[in-house]
Amino acid sequence: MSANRKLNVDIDEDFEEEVEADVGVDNLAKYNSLCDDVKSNILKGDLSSAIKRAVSEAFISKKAPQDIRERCISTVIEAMCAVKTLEIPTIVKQLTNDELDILMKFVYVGMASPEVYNSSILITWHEKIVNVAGLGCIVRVLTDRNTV
Amino acid sequence: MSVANVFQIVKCPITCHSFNKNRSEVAICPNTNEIHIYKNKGGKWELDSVLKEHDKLITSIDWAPETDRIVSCSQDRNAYVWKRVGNGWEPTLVILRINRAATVVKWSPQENKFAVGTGAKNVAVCYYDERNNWWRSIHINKLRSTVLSLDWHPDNLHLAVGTADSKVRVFSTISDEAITSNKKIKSADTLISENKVGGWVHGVAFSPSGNVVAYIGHDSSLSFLYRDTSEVVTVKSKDLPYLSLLFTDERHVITIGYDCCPILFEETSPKNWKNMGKLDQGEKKEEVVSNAFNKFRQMDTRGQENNDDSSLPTTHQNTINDIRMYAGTRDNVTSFTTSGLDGKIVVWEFDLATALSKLKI
Repeated sequence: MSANRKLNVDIDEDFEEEVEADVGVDNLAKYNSLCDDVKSNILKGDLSSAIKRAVSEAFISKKAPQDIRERCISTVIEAMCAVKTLEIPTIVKQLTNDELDILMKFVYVGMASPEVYNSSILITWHEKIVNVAGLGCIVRVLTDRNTV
Repeated sequence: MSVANVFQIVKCPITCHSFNKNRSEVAICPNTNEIHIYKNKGGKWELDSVLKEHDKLITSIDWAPETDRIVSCSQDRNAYVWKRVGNGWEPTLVILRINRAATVVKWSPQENKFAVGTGAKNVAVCYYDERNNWWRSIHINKLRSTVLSLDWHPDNLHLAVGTADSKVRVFSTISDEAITSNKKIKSADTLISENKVGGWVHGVAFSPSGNVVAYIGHDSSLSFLYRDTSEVVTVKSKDLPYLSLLFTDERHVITIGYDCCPILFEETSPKNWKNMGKLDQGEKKEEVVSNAFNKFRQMDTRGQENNDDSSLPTTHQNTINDIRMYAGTRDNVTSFTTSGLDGKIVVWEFDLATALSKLKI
């Protein structure tokens, strides 16, 4: 082994990410109203609007406490599960590419806990989103440090 | 758009390639610690010389066309400048003073200095010290992560640097007067601009005029930074991430990457960039006529059930990792070369009008 391999590479200062760590009050209000709007749209049966509202703001978990995060994720996935399989492509087509990136984040976070959320519906959403937004959409979810 | 020539030079990945001025020789690294120089003899590429001095994988090679010197850098933390002596090449060590791998190297347009990006969170700008007869370096230290890409401004002074902390920065480096005056140069790291991307910055390039910096993020995006307004335009693509890019003129960019195919971007109106499509449409594989028939034939001839033809419809059969200008001028590229993990070097004829008309069909 050469000498440079014996260096402790972790001794360097860790790379710090620039994240605004504090949870602002306006953020809380923003995310709460997001959940409420999506919920009321689901109750009205207007699922297209519910999904649109769900992806209208980039939800970033680092900027919200755990309970709000849970509430947001479950609300958005509830909306997605309520859509009939045949209607998914129509709704996906109405969204912009940036909105699809956000929706894809929810798909992945939902599939991460299969015991809570219905993965078979989420994988259908995944397929339909990739059909429109391409593989780039998946890559963006995987590289984005601002996770849901 | 047509492929002019495909050269299957080696059977292993090519990490980087660079041609000489009249394109009769090419230096490649076949994924080892050696540089192989191939000479064109009657349309065939023959191995001419092997340059051995590095201990570890060579990460980048750049051949200065006018001064006919090769600079190479490697994971062994060294860089060498190779000068032609007789039939061979003679290395000169560059004093880099780094404790991590050197990742990327590029000659400045005037070829009097070069920049080495490193894993030690800095860029070494190197210039020749005549009194001591060696290459001296001065560091740009305002980085916080490994340098993945860099490019010189046509003015020979400014440098764009893309790093693994998802940032692209533009610095002004050492002026030519400072080098010729032989005074001790104290610093070279004046930060001009800093922009964030959604992932590692694999590629960065100045436009021919130097007024636009284009850069590639690992989030499959291509962004343009305008000098006059500091405005950033980002195109998020549907493809896999790109690895490198080339301006063919002020309004057109070709990107290459994990999709194994060059892709053309056009500035259709000021500050509005659009993906025009893949330049390598590829030939469609033969449609399967009869599944049952083919299945039994496969079983008969090969003793296996599945069709194992896994070749891609594109010219390159694996990720492309390097793109360079081959013919034309910086603001009117008529031909470019790509090399990739499939060991091929491909020379592409590029005529903008034909390429665009084909893509519009």
